[in-house]
Amino acid sequence: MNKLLPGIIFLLFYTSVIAQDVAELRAALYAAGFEQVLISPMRSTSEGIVYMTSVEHRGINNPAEAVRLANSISQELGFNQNKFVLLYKGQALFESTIEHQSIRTADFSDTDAMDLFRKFSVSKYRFNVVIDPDIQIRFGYFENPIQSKIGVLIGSDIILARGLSLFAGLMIPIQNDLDSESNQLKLGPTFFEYFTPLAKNHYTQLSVGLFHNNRYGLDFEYRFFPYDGRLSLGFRYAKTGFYYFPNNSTFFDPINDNLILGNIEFLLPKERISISLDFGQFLENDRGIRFSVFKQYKNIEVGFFSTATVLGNTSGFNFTIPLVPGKLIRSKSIELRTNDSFRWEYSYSNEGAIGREFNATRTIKNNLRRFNSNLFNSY
Amino acid sequence: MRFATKFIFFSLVLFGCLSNAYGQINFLGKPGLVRIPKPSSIDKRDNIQFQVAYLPVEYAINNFMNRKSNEFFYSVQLRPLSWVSVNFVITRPTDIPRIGIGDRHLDLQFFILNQKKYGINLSAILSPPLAASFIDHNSIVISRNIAISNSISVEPVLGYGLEVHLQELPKKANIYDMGYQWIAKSERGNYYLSGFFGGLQVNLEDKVFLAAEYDTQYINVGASAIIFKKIGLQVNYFDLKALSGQISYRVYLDKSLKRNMKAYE
Repeated sequence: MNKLLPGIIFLLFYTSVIAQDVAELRAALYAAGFEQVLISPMRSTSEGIVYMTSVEHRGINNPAEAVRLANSISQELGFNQNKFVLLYKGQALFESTIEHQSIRTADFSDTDAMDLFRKFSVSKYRFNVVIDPDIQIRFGYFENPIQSKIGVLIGSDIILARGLSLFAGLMIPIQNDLDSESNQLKLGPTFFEYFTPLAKNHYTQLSVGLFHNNRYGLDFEYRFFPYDGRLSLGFRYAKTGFYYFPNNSTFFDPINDNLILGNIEFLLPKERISISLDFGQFLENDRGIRFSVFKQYKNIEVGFFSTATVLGNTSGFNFTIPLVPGKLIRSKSIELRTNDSFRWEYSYSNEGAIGREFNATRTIKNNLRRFNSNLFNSY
Repeated sequence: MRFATKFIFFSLVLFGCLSNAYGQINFLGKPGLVRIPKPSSIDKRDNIQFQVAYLPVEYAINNFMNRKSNEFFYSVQLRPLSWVSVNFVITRPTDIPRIGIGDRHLDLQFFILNQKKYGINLSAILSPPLAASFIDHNSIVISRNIAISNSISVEPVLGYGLEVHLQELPKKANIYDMGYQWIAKSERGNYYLSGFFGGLQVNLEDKVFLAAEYDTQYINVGASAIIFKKIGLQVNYFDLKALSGQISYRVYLDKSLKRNMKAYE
């Protein structure tokens, strides 16, 4: 008995020290902007306990950087053997470990998945408010060469359940000499969005509501995306209508526009280039193909595209950049920041809707691209 | 005396700011001399480059409605792969009404051979027939860098630009759809890089560049320097008659956002 007691006391002390450390790590990761931080011990080795930590960072647009940041925080607090499970809207994608500065990725096991599933909680997300400029410019009209419509979208992605979110937005118009939409404060894009993996490497997303680019209706997307592969395939079906808000009224076209698109994308990891082909029916029943090339930089994506459709041909470019200054306010439960992925597209032809899509910043085609683990060590 | 002291002080400060981040670029944002491109560059890092260049009316290129004016060339250049760069240029004449946004131009430069491996630099520039632009040029350029001392090297550049360009004939103007055709550039008054051109660039420690060239129309000289690793300044002397300049700015894309790495500090 007199031998057991110190043993028990030591054990209690030891476990509480570990618990304290884990709490400290969790707090440090939250403070750095991570959300849904779920830490569980995996196994014990001679060098200490291996932990599995799930991380999601909505303010960093490069998952490789999110993993590196999480790892450096863990290292500082003495967690040398941490595995990180990357989450996208609370859904686990894959596991990554940093060894000798390089990121190694692997699938997580079913038990790990169950563990994450059990521990998931909506309250582990912050109430997130994002400031996003909305800039539409039409170049080349002779009397007024730069017609523009500029506004600020204050939006929030409210996570309602695992994979399910409500994006709600408020549009503050600044100036508009492009179209007849009113210059009053109005509802911005507001929609429900559900993202879920169907099976390993198979993902779907379903959205309903008022989307970006003045489209409302239903949007379904499926994507075959092996995170460590080079080829990915996708399908998108959307049934939408056009909406806009003229002065003191609303205008809704009937929902009768079918968008049906297939996509094949191939990644060249060393060059960090994705070659992508979209084909099918774009908005406004425009049929044709769109060929794009995307180049990934650390926090920037630059794309070039050429479109050939029934309505005509065009070419252009797009870019996705993080906005300054980034985080403005961050507390335990709320965050206010500028958009981590502001996207803008320029098309040579401004006549008609040639090969147009909508809600591009929300598609899994565009958002999963950066999660390809082949890219992680080639930045 | 006081002026001399000031001048020396200013030169020293300026010299301290000089850097060897990238080489001389021509008025369209390509690696080059004054108006001619060259097939090599000393760029090492991923970047996007923005430039504004000014051309006085006597040497203006845009011939919109058969009128010329002083011009500004706004260009953006990105090199997504080591062997190709994408150049986007908007020409804005200063006092021609109804010009719209200006003349939009896109071309690709392919860096085919490099001196390290093949003893010679060779590149080809292609202007796809997206639009009929006054700076359309399809050229091939060669050069070789010759070291004279540790700090000085010279680079002779020689090139040839096609006197025709590919254009899609407007469908409305023709009863028969004639599609794409090779058309003499001079038909629209486009004389930029038509025929043989060449030049010589002197490189002082990759920091200061002096250039003299024949651009198929004029003999131009120019001097440039890079300061603070991202700002390029260049003074050009067109036809040895008119002074002009250009300013470029680079954003490097290979580094992480500081805020992402220091987020928790």
